[in-house]
Amino acid sequence: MFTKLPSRATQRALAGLRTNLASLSSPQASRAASQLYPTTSERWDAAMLQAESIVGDASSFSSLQKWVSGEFNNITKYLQRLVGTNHPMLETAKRCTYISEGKMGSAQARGLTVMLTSKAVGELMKHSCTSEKQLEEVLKNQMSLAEMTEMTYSAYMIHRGVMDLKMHGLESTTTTTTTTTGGLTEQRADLEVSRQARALHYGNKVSVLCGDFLLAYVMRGLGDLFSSKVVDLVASAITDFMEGEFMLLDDWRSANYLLSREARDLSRWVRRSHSTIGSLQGNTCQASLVLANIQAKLQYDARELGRNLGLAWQAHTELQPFLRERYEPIELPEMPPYPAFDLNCLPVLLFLRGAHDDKARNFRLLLDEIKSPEANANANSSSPQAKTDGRLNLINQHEHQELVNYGRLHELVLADKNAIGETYKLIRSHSTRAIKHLDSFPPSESKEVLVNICESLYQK
Amino acid sequence: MLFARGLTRVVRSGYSRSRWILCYNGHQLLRHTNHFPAPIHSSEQVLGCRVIYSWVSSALSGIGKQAHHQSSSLEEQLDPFSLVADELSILANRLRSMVVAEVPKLASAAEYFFKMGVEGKRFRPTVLLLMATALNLPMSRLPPDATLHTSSGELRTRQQCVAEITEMIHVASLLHDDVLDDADTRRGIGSLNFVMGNKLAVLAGDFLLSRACVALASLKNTEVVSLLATVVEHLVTGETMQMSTTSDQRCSMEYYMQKTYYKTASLISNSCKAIALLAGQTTEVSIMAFEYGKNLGLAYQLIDDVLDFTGTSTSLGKGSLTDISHGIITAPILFAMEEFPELRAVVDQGFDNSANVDLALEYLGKSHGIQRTRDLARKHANLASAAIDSLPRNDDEDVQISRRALVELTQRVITRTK
Repeated sequence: MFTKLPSRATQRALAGLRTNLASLSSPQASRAASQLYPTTSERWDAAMLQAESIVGDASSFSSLQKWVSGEFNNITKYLQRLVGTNHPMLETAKRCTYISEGKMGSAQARGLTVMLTSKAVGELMKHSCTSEKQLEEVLKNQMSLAEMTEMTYSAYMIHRGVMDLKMHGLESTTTTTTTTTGGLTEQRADLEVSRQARALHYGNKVSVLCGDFLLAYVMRGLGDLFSSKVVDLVASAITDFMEGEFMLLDDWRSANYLLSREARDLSRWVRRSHSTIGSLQGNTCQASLVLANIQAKLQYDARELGRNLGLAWQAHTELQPFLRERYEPIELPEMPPYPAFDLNCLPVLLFLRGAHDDKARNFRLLLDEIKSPEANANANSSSPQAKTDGRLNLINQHEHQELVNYGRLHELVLADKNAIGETYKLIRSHSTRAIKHLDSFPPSESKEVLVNICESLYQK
Repeated sequence: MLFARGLTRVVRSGYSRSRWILCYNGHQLLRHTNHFPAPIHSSEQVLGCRVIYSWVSSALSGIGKQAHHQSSSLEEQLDPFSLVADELSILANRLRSMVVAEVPKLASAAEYFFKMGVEGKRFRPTVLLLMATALNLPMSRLPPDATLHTSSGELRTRQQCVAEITEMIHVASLLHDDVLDDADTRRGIGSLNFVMGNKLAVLAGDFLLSRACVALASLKNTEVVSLLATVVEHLVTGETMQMSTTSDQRCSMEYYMQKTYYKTASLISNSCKAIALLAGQTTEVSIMAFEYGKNLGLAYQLIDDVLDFTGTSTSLGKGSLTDISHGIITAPILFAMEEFPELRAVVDQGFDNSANVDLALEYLGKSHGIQRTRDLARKHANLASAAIDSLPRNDDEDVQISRRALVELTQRVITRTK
């Protein structure tokens, strides 16, 4: 959730959060955690470890400590109250804490990339800074920028977890309209839904406030960097992020997404991923050079480096569920399992595109197969428990409103070697582009690690 | 306002002599009819500003007819809102172009923002534009140099930008508040979370906030960035204070005022200060601007809390009772509790049960809670006008009008019924 780099206090707070959550989780927690981000690239892990050793410990820099000691403690208190509600906020927190235990290093990869880019221009900074003191100041600002990159991302992970309750007939108000016509079990189900809805509304409050707190903290931190250009870059990335997120929302809320043109539009994927991943990484990499007063040409390269690495990384992440032979939904302790991939992920998109253009295949028939009835079985059941679950599942942020047999779709994508191959091609093309933009950087250990990270995304 | 400024410019180029005479006449008339002593004291300023402003407005409607209008203008109301109406509509257009989004859903969310912001009463931008003029260096002291003239225009644009940013932050916080309160309506229309869902409303709020940040960066003034960043922090702190409280905190007047400052007054006070900073004013002046905003904001919220109980009528219980039914304890109840300590037990039980709401209303009716809240609001309104009065003397007519309009606003805030 937060970059490990800058702050011991953050680690302390996270450790506290982890204990809180661990005490509430089942013993299978560690098994579930390993499923989150299956480590398929040892090279990636090695590159990340190397990156951490270069960036090193800089706990003395952090300004997060004050914030952490006060508000973060409250947040963990709020989170405890959420246990058992299935609110996405809890899941985000769990993911964050588990990932930060170092499964794939992804919890801090964004901040690390910013720091590596900063270090890669270290030699040049010695010329662009007039005094030792100024150099120190720049390094400190770059560290805090890396921290804010992580925090911005966390804020959005949290905000996108806000659930739509009313749209699905879940009222959080105490007045339950129990009709006399409904049987006793019916009423009980309604009461249960209403109780759940109240708990989920509380989860929404926590999510909104946590996200806002992180954002406020980022804004404050940006102000302290005393660079309007940097404020502009980070704020613009946030704007882009929102646009991307709204595109995602469109996909999720469409009842007929798989059939739509968007489902097989690669340029839309690139645009969306640029918004949600590339823009923040690119802009913050550029911003780290702005802070160091490095010339514009190199700033452009830094931006393209971050942007392309972000896109490659996103494609790589979306590929992970398809590197397993068998489909397994993601399970977190105390939560119902949810799909291991989104319907708008790159392999599915490329599969749909290929299948649609393949004249030998009946596309509609194929879609019917994907949307087989067994996925709907639960929702159609009339038992009160199923009714509750159905209503609550419908609003899970990780599920498209379109009901799909994920296992079957997984099979079909794997059987279509083209979809996986094309995905690799795209990862490779963005990674190599990122490496190309590193050409103009002076040789350094950080540069090597960055190249290594890029390569690890498509090479074993 | 823009019209007035344009006119001033025209007047200055050709009729500056006659303008001064007219102005002088206005003052003279005022003094004659009311027998005011030469230095106008603060208590009389409200009336004074009415006269001067309405005189100007009649001058705008027809320069030749001012003599005829002077007598009737005495009864006319000063309207701070119409003073900046033209400029506000320019602002509205610029805001519109700032939240343009390519993604259709986001675009329609942005459209909703205008229903809430631009078509609302626009209290904050009005205050800020008036403050911008009120803190102007006297026009007469600016040499009629072309370059300086542009720079004063540039300053105005930057100050307008602060007004836009403030409005965006405000609406972003409304969007988030509605999700927090699970509100169905906002200003008579369905709230965004009701129409488009919680998630979208929260993200649309973030979108506005990020656009506000981009605009903030364009001001290239890091002190102003920090000021408004503090505001965002305060807004969230205020929300958390409201959400997680112990009984003692809930029943503490001090805690309540602190929360009110964070939730309501911080935005307007800090953006008033930003206006002063951009104008290159001294620390003393920016403190006065800040104090004005702070006290105006506090007075505004205190009256809001009264209206939540009374509604437009004067009797209790006609308001929407939103706060108390959400378990939020405001000033009227806090004052009532001082008179009737047994009310504390009711408050501690919470207001999920409507019988408790009725009981609290009964105590409130017996107490002076409403009146004491109004008195406190008046006290803050007066502090706000005092801040304006202690600004460095400036004889420029536009400056005078704006200052008086700001003072008038403090009175409007405490006498409003909705």
